Amino acid sequence: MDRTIAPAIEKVKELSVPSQEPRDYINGTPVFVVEDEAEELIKIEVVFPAGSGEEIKPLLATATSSMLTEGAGEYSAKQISELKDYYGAKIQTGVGKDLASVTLVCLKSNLEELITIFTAIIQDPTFPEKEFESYKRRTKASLKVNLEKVEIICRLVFSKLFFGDSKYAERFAPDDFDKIERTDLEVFHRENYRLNDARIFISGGNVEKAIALLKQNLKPDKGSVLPKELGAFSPKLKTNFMRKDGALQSAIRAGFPAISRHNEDYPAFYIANTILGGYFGSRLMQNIREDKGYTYGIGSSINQLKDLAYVVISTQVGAKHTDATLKEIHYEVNRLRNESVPVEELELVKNYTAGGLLRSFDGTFSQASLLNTMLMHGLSQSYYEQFLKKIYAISPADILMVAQKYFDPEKFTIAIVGEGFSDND
Amino acid sequence: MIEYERFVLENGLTLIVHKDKNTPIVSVNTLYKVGARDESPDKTGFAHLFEHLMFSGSKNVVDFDAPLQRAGGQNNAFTNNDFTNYYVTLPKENLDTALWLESDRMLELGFSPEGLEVQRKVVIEEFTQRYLNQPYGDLWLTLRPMAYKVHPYQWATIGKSIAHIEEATMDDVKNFYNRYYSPSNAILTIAGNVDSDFILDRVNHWYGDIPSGNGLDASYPTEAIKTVDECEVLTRDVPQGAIYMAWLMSDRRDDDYYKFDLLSDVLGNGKSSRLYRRLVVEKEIFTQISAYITGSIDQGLLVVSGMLSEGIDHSEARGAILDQMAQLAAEPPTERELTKVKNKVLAQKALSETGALSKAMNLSYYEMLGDASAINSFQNKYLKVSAEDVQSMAKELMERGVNELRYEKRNG
Repeated sequence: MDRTIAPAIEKVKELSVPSQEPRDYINGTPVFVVEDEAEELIKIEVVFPAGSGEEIKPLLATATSSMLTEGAGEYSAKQISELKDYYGAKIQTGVGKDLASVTLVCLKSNLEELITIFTAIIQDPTFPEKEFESYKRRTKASLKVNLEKVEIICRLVFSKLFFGDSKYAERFAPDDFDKIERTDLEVFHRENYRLNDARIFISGGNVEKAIALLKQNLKPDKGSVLPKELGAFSPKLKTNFMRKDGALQSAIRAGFPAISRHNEDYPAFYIANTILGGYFGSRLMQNIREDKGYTYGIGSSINQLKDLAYVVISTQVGAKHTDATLKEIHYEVNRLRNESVPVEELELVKNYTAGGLLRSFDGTFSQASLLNTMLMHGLSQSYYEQFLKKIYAISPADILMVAQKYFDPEKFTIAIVGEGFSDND
Repeated sequence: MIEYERFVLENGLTLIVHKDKNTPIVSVNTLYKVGARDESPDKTGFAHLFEHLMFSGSKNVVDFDAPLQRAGGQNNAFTNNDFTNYYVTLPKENLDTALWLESDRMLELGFSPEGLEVQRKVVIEEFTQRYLNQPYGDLWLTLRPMAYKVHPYQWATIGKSIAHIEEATMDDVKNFYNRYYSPSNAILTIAGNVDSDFILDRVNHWYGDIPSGNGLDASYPTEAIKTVDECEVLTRDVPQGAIYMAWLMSDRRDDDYYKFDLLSDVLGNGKSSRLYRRLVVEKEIFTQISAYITGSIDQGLLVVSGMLSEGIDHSEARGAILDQMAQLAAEPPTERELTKVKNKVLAQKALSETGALSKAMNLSYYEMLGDASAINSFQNKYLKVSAEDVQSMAKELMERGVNELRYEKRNG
């Protein structure tokens, strides 16, 4: 055998995309299902348009989401954590910029014991005063710890510059918790956690039973609310520094607007970003980590929000390598714009991307979460199959075209946090 | 029930195959029985640095990652004090690519001097990012040498200091490789929708001619149980005081392991646990608290870690934690508490069986401990634990010395 010769490889032929057709409706709320009867576990996720973009005070969406499990219906916070832990279940609440979710993961045999608590958390949170004070005290403390990390500070500096006065801006400080009243949580919950605006995703085993139980326990909801408008979005094209004394590494974020998945340039845009910084073998990783050793990791990711898409390059580098890293980031973006990508590199990235797609459709829980993404962004049932085909057809000229059209270092918003800088702005 | 087949090749390589019909992806997991505990005290951090070098090319393949990515694959690795684990996932049609790459780096590494120089820098940045440039990041660098006086667990996987990484030579790399990276010291587990006959054939093809390597008979010193408490104070620019209390417990293969694990769960796993309910919610002494075990093969640690509320001093925090431990030593947990922590074990077992990669990793892990079949039976060891067993472990710990690490705020 000749070990220097790579084995032949096959391309990805098909993806098993779950159906976008609702299995059922509960008081008008669509229920989407990815079923596997052999699965011992079941996951129910209810998704609401209640993300941080909808809040009227900083941290309100986060506080509301976290407080859902601190008292609901007839259950106290103590009873909720007792019952959940007793069955080894997970009841999690999460919040992003657009959506908030409430999720139950448990053994399917325990569903009956957990369903009333789960639906109470969704529909009847009580937001007890005492638990809210305790929550504020705990969360303020952990936020203060997080604000010691250059990576987190950098996220905030970037957000302020990039998102401007749009609804996606994150501007918060630990003291903002003190400005939230109990009644703010009630109002935010009433306005934004409406089943009429929600989607329900059920994956795993015992799906029919879950639907029946949800029908028994969820009450009909009134009204509906339109998500907020994007607001003034005009990213500042500048570099801001923030000084953090004693930081051994600097955090860097560089971002620019991206295009939506509906844009015909998107498949090439996606591949261009992957080449630049979207995987371990990417140019940023190869240059800045594997060649220069400035960092433990660097990446470039496309973030798709409901009303806005953007790319962000982020890393933490040894303090003395900060300037050199910025120079190399610019160098790599310009190389993408000015030089045709070698065919071999392009083929590699296409195959890697196809393998990644196959992986993200692997397993019932992953399929349900992809379904959530597809519905949120209005992607058609055949979207991913077409995306796969389009990716295999991309040429070096396509990459050059999107790089020149969209990847422009002159249009970067950059935030840097570390030692030795003086604050500006 | 996870069904699997187990084979041992002539050169000593253990192969475990698990068929999972529900996935288009195949997972290839390679566990080498070498970790930070195998390092010499003056060359620490080496097992982990070495893990990085495993990606810098092998004898016949200049680059590990690119051919794998070209086949639609992804991979990563981790090192802990006991073992080093490499894993690959890729479309099942391209299984051969993974075996080609993994077998070549088991056959012989590339030993590129440039690779060593770059990975040295990368690991130093990793050291800085994760251990030095984070509040409380140097916790384990300080706590390990307190808890272990003779056992090599006294240093963290990342190493005692950056100097050790800076001083590593190519000779060190070669010696380490020759000693530990051989078929007889490895467990290969493959999980996916592929027949075992085919897998065995391909594994024999790629791995069959790799020389077996020397059998290893490692032994590690036993850490004496201390009776005297030890306390260290770090004064730092942190926004909040913190306390870490660690007791030496049993090793992984001892039946007491399961009792200690459930003790830590009753004490401090989740919001319904005793420490959280009583000390965070009711008494507001802490803003966060949890208890857990390190889970190492040799004697591990049971750890309680808490973040202090404003105005609470460390001796009060320490007293409150010891008081909870003393209550469990005086009276066993309730049946409901015990059932709760056992149910959690069962639910977590189900969760770990939802993906092929996680099953492959667990099969390798239990095989390393002595028997892959424990993946289907380990829960019975937990179910056998009684409330009195948990109580007796708490009693036992109360008699042992505790290692206490305090973070105090500078200027206050």
